[in-house]
Amino acid sequence: MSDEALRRRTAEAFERALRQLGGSPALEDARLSLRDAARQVTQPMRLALVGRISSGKSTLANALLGNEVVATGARELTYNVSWLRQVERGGRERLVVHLRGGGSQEWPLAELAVLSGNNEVLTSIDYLEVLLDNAELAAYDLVDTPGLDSHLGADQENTLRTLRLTASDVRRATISHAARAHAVVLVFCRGLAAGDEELMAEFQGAAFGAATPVTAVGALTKVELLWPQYPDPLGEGYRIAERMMTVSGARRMVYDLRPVASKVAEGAATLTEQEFADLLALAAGDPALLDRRLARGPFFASRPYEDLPVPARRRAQLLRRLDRYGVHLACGLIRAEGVDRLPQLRKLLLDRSGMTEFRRLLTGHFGNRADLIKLRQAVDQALALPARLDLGPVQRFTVEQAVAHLRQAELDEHGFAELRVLRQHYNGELRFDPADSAELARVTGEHGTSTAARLGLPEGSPPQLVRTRAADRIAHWSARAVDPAYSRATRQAAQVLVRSYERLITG
Amino acid sequence: MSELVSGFEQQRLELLDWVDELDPLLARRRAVESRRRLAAARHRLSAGRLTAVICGEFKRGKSTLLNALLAEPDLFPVDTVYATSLVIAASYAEREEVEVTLEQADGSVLRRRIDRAEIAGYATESGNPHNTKRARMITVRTPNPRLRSGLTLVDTPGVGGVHAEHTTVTTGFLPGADALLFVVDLTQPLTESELEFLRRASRSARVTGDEDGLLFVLTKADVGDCTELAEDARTKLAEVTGRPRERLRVVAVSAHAKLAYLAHGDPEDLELSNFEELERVIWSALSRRRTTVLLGDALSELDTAVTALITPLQGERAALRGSAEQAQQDLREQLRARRRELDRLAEAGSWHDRLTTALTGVRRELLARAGEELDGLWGDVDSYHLLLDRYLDHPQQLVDKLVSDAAAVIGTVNELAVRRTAAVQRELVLASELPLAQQRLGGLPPPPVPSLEVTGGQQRTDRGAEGIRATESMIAGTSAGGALGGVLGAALGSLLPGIGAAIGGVLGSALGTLFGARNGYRTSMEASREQQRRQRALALRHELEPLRRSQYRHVQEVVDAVLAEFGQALTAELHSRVRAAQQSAQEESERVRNAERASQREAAERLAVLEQELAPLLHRRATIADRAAEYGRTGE
Repeated sequence: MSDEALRRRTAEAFERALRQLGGSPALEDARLSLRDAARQVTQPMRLALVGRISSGKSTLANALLGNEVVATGARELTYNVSWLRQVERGGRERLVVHLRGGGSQEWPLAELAVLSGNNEVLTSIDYLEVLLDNAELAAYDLVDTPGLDSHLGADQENTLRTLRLTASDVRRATISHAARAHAVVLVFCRGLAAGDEELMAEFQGAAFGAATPVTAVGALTKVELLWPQYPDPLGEGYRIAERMMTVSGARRMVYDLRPVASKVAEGAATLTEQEFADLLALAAGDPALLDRRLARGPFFASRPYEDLPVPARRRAQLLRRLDRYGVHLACGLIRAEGVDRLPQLRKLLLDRSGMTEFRRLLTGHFGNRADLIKLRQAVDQALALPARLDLGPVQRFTVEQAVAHLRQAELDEHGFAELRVLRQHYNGELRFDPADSAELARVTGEHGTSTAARLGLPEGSPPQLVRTRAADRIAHWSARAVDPAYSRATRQAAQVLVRSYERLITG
Repeated sequence: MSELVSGFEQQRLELLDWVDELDPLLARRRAVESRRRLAAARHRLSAGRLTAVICGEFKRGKSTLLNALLAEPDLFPVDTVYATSLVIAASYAEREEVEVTLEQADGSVLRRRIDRAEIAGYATESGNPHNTKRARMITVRTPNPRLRSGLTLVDTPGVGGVHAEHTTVTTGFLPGADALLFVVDLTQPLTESELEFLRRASRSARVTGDEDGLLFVLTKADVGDCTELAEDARTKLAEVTGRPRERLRVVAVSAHAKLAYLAHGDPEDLELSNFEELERVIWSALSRRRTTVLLGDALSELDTAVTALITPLQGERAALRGSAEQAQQDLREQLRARRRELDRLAEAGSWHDRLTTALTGVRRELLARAGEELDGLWGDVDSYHLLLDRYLDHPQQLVDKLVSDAAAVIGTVNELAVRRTAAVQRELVLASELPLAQQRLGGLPPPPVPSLEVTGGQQRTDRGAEGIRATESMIAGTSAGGALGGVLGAALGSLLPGIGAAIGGVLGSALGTLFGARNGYRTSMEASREQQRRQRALALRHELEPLRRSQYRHVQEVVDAVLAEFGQALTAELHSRVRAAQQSAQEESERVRNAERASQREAAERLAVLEQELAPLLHRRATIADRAAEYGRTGE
């Protein structure tokens, strides 16, 4: 049942396919494409952030990485795709600018400002590769895309013109990079109701095969702006997300949609000691007075207010860092939890901004299935070859023969069968109730890939218990698999789950 | 309340007083038609609406803004998602009445009285999922002091492309509004559909010369330091509307701060809310044109009525004074000539040709303007839109855009029709030498042709849903679409000055038909996706050709239908004026006859009484002229 074995067998299938292709020069393209597909598997999982301009993608990326790394300082760069990766061991953090004509240039991160003034380079960027020493990037690469908007404001169009780009170019780059990613985070801005429906319709369009519930989750950003009208913005965010999942049909596209007070999360990661001291001072005062003052944002940031212990200039800085809700929340946490150290506040803010939950969703949904998802995409890429390449009938036959090995591997592999069941389930083709759905997610690794996690048992459960539980589930799903009351697809899915449990006890 | 509001309120009250002062005199003198006309004018003035339409994308805080403007935090539900395709209007009444307009399966309308608490059941997504109740409009008439002066606030549904037919119809009515409040959320970027809407609205405003009626309200100015956001928004709006930044009317407000002020009374909240400025800007937009038109209409009618009272008295006075046989002879001759002329005018034929010629001129002008606008739209298609991937990939979006663009053209043309027919009315009255105040009250814009519903014209007094369907059939092919348009059009028309339910119905169903023409385009164009860009652009252009032709045809049909409606209203109006003049002349003849029979002593007594009767009337006429000069100046 290990992914290791699956990866090995898939690699072997690729090898066989390549051998079958032979050395004919006419098939050079096919060989290159197949090798490229096979290599994808060994690369880290690529996770793309996709959404409208200003939907908070970069803020979310910063919050995920716990640092202000995404080119917020250099506006010209935000129109390019940024690929954020873990720097090689002992390597220097840097920016690699990939140029459209081929080739690349390296820039120290500190010199982003210089780069944003260098028109010659700016006008020939294909995409940016940012190499960082960041623990989060050990699990996945993050691709920050500029935006899906087909129309930009005239001021942005002006910037684009100086970069010799058009809105269509930006959009195309976003789509092509997102399509190459293994998984996608769709970023929705709080409450953009009508616009979001349009956006989702576009995602569902042909250009966007990548967004299925298996490979996509959603983030509802900027929920901090719901405060103070909603005292619990995250709770309200969950309500909006739920509505979008059901009413707007997001369920067809994303596995789950989670609200994130993204600005608060980003601010938590970058909060300075001075700002922390100011928060402590504010927290010591009258909470009701603070909230009243915070509600009038522009005044909070500019008026003298003798009754607040922090000067206006520094209050403005706090607002920029954490937004109104962040300041309210931080002071509340300081009061309620007796916080006296910055790291402690950071952690609490991350929890309460929904960021901790969101990270957990990413690791659970993508991280635990990373290999399977990557393999799946590699195989899909290979299987699409005969149709994609411009071939004569004889060569096409050869390529079809070659990829047949992969099709066989696909059919044989139980992991792929599980993925197919997941996909069918998300498409609403199966009659699964909520308990069934939860079990399907769990046994396919949503909450961890150990045998205990897949069975929903505590780690280190005695083997006896493991066997009893698995046997119980096998009996449950075996009955379902032959029950004529269910559709054929549901019965077949049940059969796959029986096999999943069997593999847990037979190894 | 701002000074502008109370100023208008006072002016209106004064004129209503004058009407009430003249009415018993007209009754005593049996000036039936003049009295009826003055009553109609009184109705127009007191029911006269100043319509501010609020528009913007969903979830831009429009309901909160409405509640804050009305100082009623709970009137419109805000914490839930709004139902789609719904117009909400708030206006004044002594007792609260809430009504919902529902579209029936057969396309007819049902109006249902509900109470305030039931609004959410129709207006929100949770109370009315996917608008299965087919609610089209909710009107709230309520004793809110902020609405007393006749202000009607209309909240239109979002401007997005999701509910295209509704958007099309609403778009067509916007040029008839007195002020447009475009709501922009400072914390969110402007969407494509918002930009598209704005381009359209500012284009219409340019044609009718109403650019100052377009106001931008930036909401959520409470979030933080929003100077930069507001500057960005301003720049963007200037670029979209093509107006210089400094001439844009932009107000950044916080509705939440206003509501907080209402709840707690902290003046700092009021200051942050900036609502005093917002109210000032709204009222200055309204008084820019509409208040002048409303007051001017009443003044002109007052002047006509007072003149109808004065003339017979002056005739009698002349008869009493003129002892010489020759002078009396002349007077009788003049009177006879005038009555003969009036009898001739009462036969429609005498001025019918002139009316036809004038309306033909208007028609030519409107068609030329509409043609220019449509040429512009379709020129852009060739030179720009067909080069965009977005439209090549999604031709339906281009079709939707073109349909809404055409709706805006139709709305603009309709608004021009309102103004041009007003001018025709003035010319005709002048040419017929009918008593017309405008001659002396020159500073004011000509009042619009009163619609039949208001004057109670004899041809059609009651225009309910029945009448709307009748007018609908005036346009060929209406059955294909336009049912919703007719319903919504009549509803919107009843809210907008110068349109009225009947023309609203015509306009609405025309817009609906326009929209109906769009449906045939879906399938054929999707098929062409695979072709190359250039070929796709050519193919699309070819496919769009019937749409282009049908738009030119529709515009022509609308102009004809609207002008036919105005033609009838104008005829009724002229007949009414002739009748009033006839009655006045009749009275004068009787008075002159009596005067001739009077002895010298009787004549002296009678003259004294007459002078007493005349003095206040002459004074009133002078004050009316003063006011007209005054309002004419402010209306410039």
